[in-house]
Amino acid sequence: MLLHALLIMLALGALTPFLWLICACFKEQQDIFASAFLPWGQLGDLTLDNFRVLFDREPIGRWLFNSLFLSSTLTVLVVTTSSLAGFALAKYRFAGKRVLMGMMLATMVMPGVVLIPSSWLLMYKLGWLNSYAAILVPGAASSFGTFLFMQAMKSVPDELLQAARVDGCSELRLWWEVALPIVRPMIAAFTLLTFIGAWNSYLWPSIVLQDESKHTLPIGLATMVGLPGVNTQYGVLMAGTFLAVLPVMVLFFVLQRDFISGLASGAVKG
Amino acid sequence: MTRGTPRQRLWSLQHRYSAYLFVLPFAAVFCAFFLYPLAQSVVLSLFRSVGPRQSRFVGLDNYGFLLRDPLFWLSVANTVLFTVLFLILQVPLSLGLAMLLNSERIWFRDVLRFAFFASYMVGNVFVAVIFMVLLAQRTGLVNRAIAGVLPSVGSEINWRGDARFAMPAVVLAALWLSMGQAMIYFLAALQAVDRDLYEAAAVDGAGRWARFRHVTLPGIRPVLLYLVLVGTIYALQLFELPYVFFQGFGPRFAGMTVVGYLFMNGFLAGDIGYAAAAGWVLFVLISIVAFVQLKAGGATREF
Amino acid sequence: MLCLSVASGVVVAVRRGPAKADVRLWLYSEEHARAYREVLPAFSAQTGKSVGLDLIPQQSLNTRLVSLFMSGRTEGELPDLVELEIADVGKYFRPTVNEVGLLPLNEYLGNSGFREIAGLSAPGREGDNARCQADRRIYTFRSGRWVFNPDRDRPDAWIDRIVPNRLSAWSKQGLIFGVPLDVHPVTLSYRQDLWAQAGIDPEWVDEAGAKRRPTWREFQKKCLDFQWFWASRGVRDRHAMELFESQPDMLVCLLLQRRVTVVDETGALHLTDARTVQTVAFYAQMVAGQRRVAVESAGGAGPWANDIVQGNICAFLTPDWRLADLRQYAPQLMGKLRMMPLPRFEAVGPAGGNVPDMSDAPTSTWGGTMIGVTRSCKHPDDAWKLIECLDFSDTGIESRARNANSLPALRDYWDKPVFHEPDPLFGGQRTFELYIELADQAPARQETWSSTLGRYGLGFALNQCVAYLNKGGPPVGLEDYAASQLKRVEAYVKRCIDHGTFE
Repeated sequence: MLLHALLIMLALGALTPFLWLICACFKEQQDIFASAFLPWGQLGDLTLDNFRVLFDREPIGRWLFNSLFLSSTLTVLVVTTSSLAGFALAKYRFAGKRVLMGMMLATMVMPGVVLIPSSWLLMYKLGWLNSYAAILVPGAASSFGTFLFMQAMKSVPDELLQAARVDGCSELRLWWEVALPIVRPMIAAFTLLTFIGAWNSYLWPSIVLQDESKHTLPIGLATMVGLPGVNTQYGVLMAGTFLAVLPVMVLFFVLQRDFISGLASGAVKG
Repeated sequence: MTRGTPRQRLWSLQHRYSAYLFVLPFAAVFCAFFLYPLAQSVVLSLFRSVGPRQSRFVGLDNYGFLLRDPLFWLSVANTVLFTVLFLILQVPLSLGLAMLLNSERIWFRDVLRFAFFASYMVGNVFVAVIFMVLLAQRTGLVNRAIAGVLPSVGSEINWRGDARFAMPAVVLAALWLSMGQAMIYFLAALQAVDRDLYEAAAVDGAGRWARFRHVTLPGIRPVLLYLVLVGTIYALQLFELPYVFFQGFGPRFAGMTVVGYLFMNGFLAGDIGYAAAAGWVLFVLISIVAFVQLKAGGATREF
Repeated sequence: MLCLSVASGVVVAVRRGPAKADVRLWLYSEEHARAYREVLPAFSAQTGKSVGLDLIPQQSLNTRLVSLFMSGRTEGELPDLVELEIADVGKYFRPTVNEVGLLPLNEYLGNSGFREIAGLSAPGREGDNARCQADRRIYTFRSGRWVFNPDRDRPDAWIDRIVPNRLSAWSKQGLIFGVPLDVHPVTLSYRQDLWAQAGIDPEWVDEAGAKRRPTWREFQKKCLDFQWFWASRGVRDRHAMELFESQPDMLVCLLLQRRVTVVDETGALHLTDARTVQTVAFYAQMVAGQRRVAVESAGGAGPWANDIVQGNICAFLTPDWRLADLRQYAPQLMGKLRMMPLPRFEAVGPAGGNVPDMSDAPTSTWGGTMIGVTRSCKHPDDAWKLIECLDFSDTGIESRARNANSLPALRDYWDKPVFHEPDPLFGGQRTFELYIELADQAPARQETWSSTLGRYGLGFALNQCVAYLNKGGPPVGLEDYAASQLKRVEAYVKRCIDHGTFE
């Protein structure tokens, strides 16, 4: 019981900023900072205006679709390349393995901000500026992801792989049918987190995507902030942030199952 | 290998080279889009340039100036402080949380999991904004809560303006943001630990702590190491969170991290070559730390 | 996940992209974008060119522009026009004037926008020079009438019609790289109701039976009395005014009032000037220590407005743009505020006294936006016409006045009725008229690539002084302490400037 109480308290604490966000979506501009959560004395002041303004004035639908497309495609790409490469690094010996791992580690370590002007120039030379390719292609390789899958794939028992090989399995099928199901919880976790990372990613897309019609949600929300400190429509901004969070929430609930079922479907109990 | 039918030859070929093929998509993108800009930035750091036609080769001058700059070293100190505080708090807390949420006896497991994860979903910039509001001196919820218990102290704590509270504020915000993420990875790793091992240990008479030490920890060890490493790298590269929170670099530069220093010189003052040099020095620092960590974690055995 | 990707991909692919525009403008301010969109159809109808507005977050705009200028490759990617904020512009002045990525606009400013009057009964302002359409001669407006002026060969052009002090921020070595859109004079606003209850008038000081404006020291004394009044009645957390402590912006503003620029155009530093030291020490003891009268709000306009409503802050610096926030966030302040000019640093003589140039200005300036043409623009004439249409036209100016509460840099428009309306927030006081009175005297500002560094250094010194006071250091030694800290900062900034200067 004590445990539950503690957890619930912690959970409430963790949720507090989130709750503030939800309340702010429905508050009038002047109430947003006047009352902590809800203007208890004037509940009638709650309004849907923020959302209405959001849809009328800003092309939020377009931002939503752009973000959806980019995030989902990118996640698929990254999970594929990372799990493939992680599998190879965990289970195979090959020339250049050490070099590759060293370089991977090295680039995880480089602050991304420094690479921006050079990467930007590269995009320019390739003619990819202002196209989705500039985000999807370089983003498809994630050292973090590969490293993570490498660690996760270690738990795939070698005997299982050997047995499958003897059964006549091709290497690719080994990956698809043997390794992936075992690390399924990790796939779910990584998918969720990569999607969120891509969904919230702001700096690089804002520099590369020039047309307003290609903007993603974070970029769109940032333009609503306007001049620093001037005229920020906090209510509308919070409404936008809230909408931006909804798809992620959905994804979370969907993928939660995978964490649990991953155990059931794992062949480790063999 | 004996020469067999063409099919058999193909089979053996693909066995030998499949590893390379697997790694290929990753490596190709990686080389093209990381290594090339990386190399370019080395070149940039050796120049002082203010425009396309105005570049001067200065060799290692940028680096020399950098290493003698007291502000740079202050930012290094800030960054290291943050990293240490962050890791000490984040890893045990999120592991503990994941373990709690993993046990069978919890009600509303899904909801609780969601509650802790919610913070990660909202994104870096939003976290900074919301903490700006929460930690406001008079109206912020945190100070109001403190004032409820200790009235005279509550309204005087100036999170954003006082150099003593600046770093704790950033740590708080960063913890809130990233615990959800670490928790998710730990959850996934905990699922993979074989339940049979727990039962076996229980049968052997191992208590909870012993079970934790000898079953859980080794089972999640790769992921634990990964998270510590990633957490370190994240902390050492921290920039956006304090920058948005302080709308600058904090009182007496207490909120300036190394990347913040880089940003100030490179993008606010316009000297990209100098920023590249700072980036490379940071790179060296982080590499050393990462290498030490991996060695200590025994991961170099895998190399 | 795969299904999602494919589905959204189809949606995205099916959408048509935007048409290519003839003239592209990059801007970061949503208010400006909204204001401009109203005016664009007229422009396209007139010139037959289409205009593309790219609304980009401020940070990204600067990062992109810096990368573009650095790479030197420009076809198709650089915009034709770009709006920049005053705090960002310094780094673009780093190269030599021939290599600055923006086009010098002196010729355009000097050769267009000629003032014309239909006849001699047209209204005018003292010192205007105009060409009379009837007889094509040049007249000057003196003492209320148009007088023929044989000595001038051309009427006022845009460059004469803009407030001169606003051009220096956007110039390097005399070349003007951007057209100023605003002036942003700074005044002080206060909660008239609360000050009246305390029985103190912050605006005037009695001297020998006559009233005059207070100096900052006198104002601080009033603030202390104000705080004492409310504290003795048990009101907690009521502070007399607001001054930033964690950011140097307001300190810079006050230094500008004393005509001190931290880093001037030649790169010379003024951090250890006597005036700077004095001002930093004075500012520090206003925000900390025993004679503290000012606090800071949490970041953002919302909490700030809330602090004013609650009465935690009862006086605050108001450049014109800050009023827009008040209107938005705190309509319950209607009628409770009043505006006064800034207190002075040096005592002003009785009304009408002569003040020499070196003493402080009656106002300061905070913030600013410019619009400029990039050097790579292929049709600068069209770009210039767009600037004229967007920023020198009635609709543009009125829209910006209403949305951003901003006074334009073009003097002629100050007669528009929108700038002479009573302000309900201030109980009917005509706030814009006070701004207009002060606008011509807003001090000139200069920006270089090291200005940001200088400001941060200043902020650091301020923080040090505040810490000194908080630790109980004697106020007597404050100025010496400030001097030593500023010396340290100056040495550091000088080193950075020496290292980073290219020419």
